[in-house]
Amino acid sequence: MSMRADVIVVGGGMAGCQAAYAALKSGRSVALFARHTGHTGLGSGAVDLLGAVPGAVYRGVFDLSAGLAQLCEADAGHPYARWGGAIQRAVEQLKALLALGGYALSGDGIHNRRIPNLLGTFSCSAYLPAALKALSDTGGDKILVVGFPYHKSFSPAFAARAYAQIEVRHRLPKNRYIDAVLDLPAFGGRTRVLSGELANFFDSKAGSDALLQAVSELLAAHPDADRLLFPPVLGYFQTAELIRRLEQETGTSISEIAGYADGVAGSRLSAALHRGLKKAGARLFFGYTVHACVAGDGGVRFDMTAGVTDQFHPGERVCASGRAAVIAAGGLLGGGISVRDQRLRADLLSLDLGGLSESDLKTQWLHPAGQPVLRRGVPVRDDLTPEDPAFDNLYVCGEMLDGFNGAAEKSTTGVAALTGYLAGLNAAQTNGGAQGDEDD
Amino acid sequence: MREKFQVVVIGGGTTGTATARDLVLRGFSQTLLLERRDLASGTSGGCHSALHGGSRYVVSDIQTAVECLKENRVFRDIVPQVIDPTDAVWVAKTPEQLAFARQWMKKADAIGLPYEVIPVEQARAMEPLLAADIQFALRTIDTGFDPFRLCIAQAYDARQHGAVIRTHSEVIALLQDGRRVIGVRVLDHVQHRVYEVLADLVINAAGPWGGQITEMAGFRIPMKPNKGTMGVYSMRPTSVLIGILRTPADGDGLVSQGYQNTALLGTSSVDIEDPDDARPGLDEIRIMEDSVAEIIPGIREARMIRMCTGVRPLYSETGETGRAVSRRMILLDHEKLHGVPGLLTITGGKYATARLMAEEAVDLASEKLVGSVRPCTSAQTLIYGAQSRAEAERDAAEIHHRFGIPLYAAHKLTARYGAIARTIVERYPADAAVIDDAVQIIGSEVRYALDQEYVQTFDDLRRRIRNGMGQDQGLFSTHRVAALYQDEVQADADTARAQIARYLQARWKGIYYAALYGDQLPLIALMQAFYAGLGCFEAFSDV
Repeated sequence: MSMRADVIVVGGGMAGCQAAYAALKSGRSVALFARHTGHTGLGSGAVDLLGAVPGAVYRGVFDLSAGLAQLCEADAGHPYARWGGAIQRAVEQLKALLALGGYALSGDGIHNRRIPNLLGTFSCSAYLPAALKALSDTGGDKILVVGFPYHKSFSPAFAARAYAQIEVRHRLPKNRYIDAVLDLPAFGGRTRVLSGELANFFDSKAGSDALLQAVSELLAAHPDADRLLFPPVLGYFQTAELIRRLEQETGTSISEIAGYADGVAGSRLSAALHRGLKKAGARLFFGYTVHACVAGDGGVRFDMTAGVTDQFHPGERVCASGRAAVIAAGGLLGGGISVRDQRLRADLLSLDLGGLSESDLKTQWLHPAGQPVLRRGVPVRDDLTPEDPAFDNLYVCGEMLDGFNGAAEKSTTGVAALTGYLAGLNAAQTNGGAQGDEDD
Repeated sequence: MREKFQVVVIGGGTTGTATARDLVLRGFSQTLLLERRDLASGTSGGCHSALHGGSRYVVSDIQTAVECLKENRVFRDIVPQVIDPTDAVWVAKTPEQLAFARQWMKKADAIGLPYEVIPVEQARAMEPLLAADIQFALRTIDTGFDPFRLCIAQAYDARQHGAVIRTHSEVIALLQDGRRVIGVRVLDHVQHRVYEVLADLVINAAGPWGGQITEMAGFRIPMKPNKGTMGVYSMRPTSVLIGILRTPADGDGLVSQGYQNTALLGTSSVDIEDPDDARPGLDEIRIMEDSVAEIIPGIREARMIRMCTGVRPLYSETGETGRAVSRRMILLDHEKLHGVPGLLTITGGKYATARLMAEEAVDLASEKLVGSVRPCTSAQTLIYGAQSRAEAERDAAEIHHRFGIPLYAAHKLTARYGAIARTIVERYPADAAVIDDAVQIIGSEVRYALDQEYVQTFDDLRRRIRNGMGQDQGLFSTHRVAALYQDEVQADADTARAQIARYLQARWKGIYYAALYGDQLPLIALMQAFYAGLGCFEAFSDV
């Protein structure tokens, strides 16, 4: 089978989706191919721009423009230094895409917000979905940290004490945290229930009713509570509605903590990106593995396999071609960057990114400067085409890019949203050979 | 006031704990064991999880082979639940290796090591990753085992019989009356205090650190600390231990079955000066992987989750180094050899021969203490919690049904704790759920270990229950462990978070090398995204 579109996007995470939407908005036809939802599906569902400026000591960012200025001064090759002028436009486009997918992002883009998280510390994000609410700047709230006895991913007792102690020790606005456990009859007798099972239950009418009743009973004992804080389990699809219902009925603020790799919060964001793209007219293909990419004057062609494959199931061979392409295959986690024989590679581009050495890793597991190896990726020119080999109709974006440390900076989703947006715009403006939207 | 014991044993490895156990079994119940860090935290924990049945040493060191064969059987009897009788397949493909195989079989016949020559096709059917061009294969007994649990089980058995076990307690001086050793000075790393203990006899079972102990008494022994580098694979590429029939040499890797969900590539042999400074060598790993790839070409594709080292306590009177030094056990009577009464050293040997080493040491100790050799019963007496495979399976099934935890996790629990497993889930039923998915440990055993098993750090806990030893190296379980820890020991949140950071730093030591090798970079990306990206841990924790 072979498929055609003006712009082919490889990668279904934040960067790929932003690129696809930018190309669509520029009037191009778009086909997006991905193996999975990538790193975006693991995240908390928030969009971070910049949480810290890496260096010898920890420098957290509260004021975003001041933080960005500091970062760009220290690191002129950083994606924000090179393309930061487009951040606002990229965020506006992302908000529009997510709104189309039914996922509202809040945040002023001026200040970072402080969110309690799964590890018992605080995350810092610029833009938040409905399920995440920042702590108030003044503190003074009574917050019930709620868990479920059989949900072993999250211990409200541990988290509540940890939040309170950090606020004291780091002189943050103080809240009162009280831990509580909700034991729902629907899971009676179970010793372990996974996040996904809870989320699925709360999407249902029965689940929503059961939660409302349990929350009401809890609040009867704590009528002065200002907020309830849940683990990320408040539904896959009905999250905003569920929260609205609980808040209306109880008059108390309801939100989740920020989680990671829990399978729920990140998938809400991914699903919204994909819903938005479909509504806008993109064609999405998941479960596709790209083997080779051939780029030239006549456009770009990808050879792929569809479906899960093993030695007995070779999968269906698929070929996709377009005028231009965006590669947003992720970094070491997403699979865009891999390692073989102690050398980093970007296999899709047949690109050797150099060997590994002791300078790539710090002997400390966590360091304010970050692990140097995570900065490595594909070097690109200012239009996001790879420096080498020199393609002029193929653009690289997101975690696959060289020159930033998403983990240390807390900038992964922000850089992806920005560079994906620009890569999509650039791809849309490329004139290549293959045209139209007809498949063979 | 100084405490007084009959015997002080220095070293909480398998030799020291076996010695303490043997002492109390023979009625020397006034025994104190001192370990500077944690049980099985030195050589014993750094072994490659193969409790040799002797086959590796049949040609090169027949006495060690005989001892391994005998002792392997003893351990299967007295503490069966921590032993995994995987067997070994040895293969040959060159004429030299075939010649070695003939020599091997002759010697194996001579010492009664059971083996069976199997058709090459059968070997390949058993182990599909074996190369097509192997010429010869034989199957013999060998065992994987849990090196931590076996050592710890010996310590608890000793405690059951009256011994006192103190971990994180470092001997910093020997007390002497003239030349006679009359006790030890101890630095307690938990309470941060120094105290003295008097003893009729001090037994130095400090392994490669043993030379440091005798220097405290003013003389040297020719210890040759020797480092072995190992790689840990995330799953088992083979179901049995596999190696090539040839003389053990540096370029001679073998794949052994790590206990449960890992396999190990091991082991190099490099002399080092300081046993505390043993870092994995990437070159050593590459050489071993190349060697194994001769018979298992696909081994290079297997993901290594970490690399680690163990330091062998080799003893060389004649100045040999490395592989040439015998792996035999050494018992030194310092009264006779150096004119220093009151001190014995037991060193050398293999993990598999630890009980026998203890037996010989305690024979001599008994003579010194009471003038005669009290009979040894350590080979016949079951270790506390010992449970046969059938009993363990039965208990696992019952735990699975009663508490709703996966059968797999229940099996792992009984494999660690034997007959005590049931008590653990009954004591902590609310936590009887899996909290580390990669290793399948349950919350109940975290609480039990924290309460009962001398745990100071999460790394100590790991040696008890293997938290964080799976594919994720604890990324997704350590904060859950911390929650249980905080509740169980009533720690404050800062302390619990510091424990998390300290533990992940300990894990990092092994992940670091596997990442430099390339295999663990995705895990590092995940770890950094979680703890730095989401958690801002570097801001809130003294990492």
